[in-house]
Amino acid sequence: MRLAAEHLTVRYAATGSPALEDVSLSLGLGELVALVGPNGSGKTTLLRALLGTVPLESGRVEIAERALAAWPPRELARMVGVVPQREDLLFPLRVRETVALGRYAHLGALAAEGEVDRRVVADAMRRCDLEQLSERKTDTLSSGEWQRTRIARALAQEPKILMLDEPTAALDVRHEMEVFELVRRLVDEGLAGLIVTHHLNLAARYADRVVLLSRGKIAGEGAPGTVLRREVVAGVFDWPVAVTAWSDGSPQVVPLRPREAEAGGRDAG
Amino acid sequence: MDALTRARWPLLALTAVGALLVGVAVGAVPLPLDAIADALFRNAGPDAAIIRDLRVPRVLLGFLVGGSLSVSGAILQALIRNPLADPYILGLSGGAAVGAVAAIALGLASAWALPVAALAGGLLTLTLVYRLSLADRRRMDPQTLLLAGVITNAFTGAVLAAVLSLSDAARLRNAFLWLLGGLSGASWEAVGALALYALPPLALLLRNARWFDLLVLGEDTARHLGADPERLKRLAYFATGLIAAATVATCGMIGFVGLIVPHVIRRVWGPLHRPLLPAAFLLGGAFLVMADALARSVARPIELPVGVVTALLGVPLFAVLLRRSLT
Amino acid sequence: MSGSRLPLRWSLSGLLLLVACAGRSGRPVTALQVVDDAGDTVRLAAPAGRVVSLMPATTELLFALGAGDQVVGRTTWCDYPPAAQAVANVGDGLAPNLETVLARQPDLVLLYRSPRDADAAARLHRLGIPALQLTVDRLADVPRLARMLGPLLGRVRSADSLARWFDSALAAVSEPAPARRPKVFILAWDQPPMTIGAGSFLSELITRAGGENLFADLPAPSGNVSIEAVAQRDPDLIFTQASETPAFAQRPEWRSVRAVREAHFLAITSSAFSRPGPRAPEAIRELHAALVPWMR
Repeated sequence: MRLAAEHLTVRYAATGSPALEDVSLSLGLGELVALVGPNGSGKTTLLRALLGTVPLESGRVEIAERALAAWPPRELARMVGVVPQREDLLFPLRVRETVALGRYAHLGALAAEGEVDRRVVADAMRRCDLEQLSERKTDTLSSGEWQRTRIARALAQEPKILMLDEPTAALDVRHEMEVFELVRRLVDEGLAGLIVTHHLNLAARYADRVVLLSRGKIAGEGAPGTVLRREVVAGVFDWPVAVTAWSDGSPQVVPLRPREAEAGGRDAG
Repeated sequence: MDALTRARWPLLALTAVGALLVGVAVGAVPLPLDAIADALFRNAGPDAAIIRDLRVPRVLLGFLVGGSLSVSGAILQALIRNPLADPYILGLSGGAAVGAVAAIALGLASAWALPVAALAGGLLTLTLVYRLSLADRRRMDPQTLLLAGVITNAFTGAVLAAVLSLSDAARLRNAFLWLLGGLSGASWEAVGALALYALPPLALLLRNARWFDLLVLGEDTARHLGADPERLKRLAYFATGLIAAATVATCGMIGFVGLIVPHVIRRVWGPLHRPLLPAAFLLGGAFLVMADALARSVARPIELPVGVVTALLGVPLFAVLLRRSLT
Repeated sequence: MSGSRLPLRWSLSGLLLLVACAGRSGRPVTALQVVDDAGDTVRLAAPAGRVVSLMPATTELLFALGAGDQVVGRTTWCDYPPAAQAVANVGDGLAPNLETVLARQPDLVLLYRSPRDADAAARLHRLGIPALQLTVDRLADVPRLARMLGPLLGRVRSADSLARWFDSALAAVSEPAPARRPKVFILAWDQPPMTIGAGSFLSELITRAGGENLFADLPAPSGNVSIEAVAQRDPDLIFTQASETPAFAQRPEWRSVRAVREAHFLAITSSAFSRPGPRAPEAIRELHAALVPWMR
């Protein structure tokens, strides 16, 4: 069971240049892929293209060898769980009710909630450490708790593929680590994971593969060590960096201050 | 769950039934209860015709109108993701008013001219606003929808003001009295007509209630969770539009009910639409029937406009509820 | 005569008269003086030759007094007598356009007494133009106003004779109270139903003609009523403003009213029924004829 995207090109009508140009991506069960790149490099566009929410100028996306267009919305929701970057919170629900929204793709319009649904919801909440918060209203949660709630909702869909768009953007160290640990655990348990993140270093430590985007094109793809090299990162992000190795062998990127850059950073690539 | 919350459905059902009974028992003509019972069950007594042909249909019509408007309001609040939406916000009120005024100006004499013209005007505006709201790639954008509706209402309002100032003020003023809303035109035929136009859209909305829970989160999130936002938006727009147009054609514009009842229900039942929509229907129906009963009897034989009573009753009630939830 | 010369002429004459009268008793007498229905005292140096009438009732009255030639301005609604339509139209009577009124160079303006017209009257006073605010709502207003306006127009004799004629004509059409007063429902509008209460002119006419307004107990001059109330009070006759069988009769909710089922309608279209004037006695006679069948 794979997610396979080939030669994707996306152009937003207003601007002339494409937001994505000839991008290919592949994702399988048990794999965690991190999508990184500067602002405006096309990360969110790629995510949208993989989900079919933005029209393609060319290319195709297939999930489990079936074209994306052939997946009806409910079936797709049972296959892919998405945790978007932003979400409206107009009428706050309780945490448990929010997680239960993930079951709608299974229940449809009319079926009543059953034992299976209740079990899946409880399970999702447990895996995301939300049991204590079950009856809390979502507008009273901290950012980390809200994030975990949305991840639990995606898990309640019982997806094979999990996609997260900048899930740690507003989180502190502890919550950030908790999210990455959770996602890694889920992938190890069998899911396919795609995580869009700014956090190069955590991507390097947690992801199996890193896809680096620059101006709509792929600037590097593969194991973190091969992609996150000093000259590549400095070139894509247009800022001098040094790259050191962490104890687990993953590259850690350190952006340099102008003085340090002139003096010449250490190269561990 | 505290005791009050556990009892909420029975209490609501009781309120609905109670309102219907009060509505039949009370009116411009004070009638003793045994006379009413006579009229209802044995169809006897000098006032049987009044009860059977005027009061009972009026109470039923009020319940249907109040309930439909409340469901409409709740769905529109989800559609444009704005808690201030009411059933007339998408340009319907202006269109209906212009339709009614056109009928008067053209001197259409038929007894049904006014309601039919209002209905036609309303539906025409609905279609126009819909076309206006279609953003790039033929997708309906809710924020554009809201803007288009507000602009249309402003425009038609200006047209009406101009027409009013230039013409036979007395006759047109009377036409506006109709548009202000009232159940005086109630009859069994009116109940039947409204049921025909309002019940099918209501049923469709109820059936899709769950999906509106998702739509409220935003269209992308809704799609990720398995909904079809384009289909839902179209359904919401045309169903609520048809319901609102049908109610305007039957009894003018009764404000406030569609705006406030959903919020009251959300405070007691939460915002999930599977309980929200039926509960809103029952409470909205009961509320309008009670308001109309009051409008008919407090200054007898004069009838107050029912929209005045809904506001006078509704605002303090809602304020109480607001304070309870804030403390 | 422009507006600016009039005040001078007025004050000069007034001064002369005051001087002339000062020697006599302490009571000041000016040429023509009247207190209008708003309580203001209005003075004219001489009978008015150019009158703007901002009410259909006074327009009719002026023509009836034979002062039609002295009317230089009327409103859009002044439709009787036909000769009135040849007079210049100055627009609406309520909240009048003063520019158009002044363009007619009036030396007397007659307005309806209402808060909106009080403002117009005050402005006219400030410009030195005599303006009278009058209430014309009841039969008694006709002879009263005739007598008030007569001297102001230089038609004292015809005013007096009109007033006396009116009183005797009224007496002639007033019959002793019938055995049964037919109940009349005045339908001013049908959606929502609106009727006219006891304070109105039409209601007064009905009473004079031997009938009874169904909603004589209505405190306001007009109001919305329930069809229920109409059905229960069971009127004999319904007065409408339509000239053929009214459209509302076809609507199902009106079927519970007997008079609708049996189609007892009377169309009231002539303006003689809506404003007090010299046509009132004739209007009463017409109403009486329509009501007679129900008086037994």
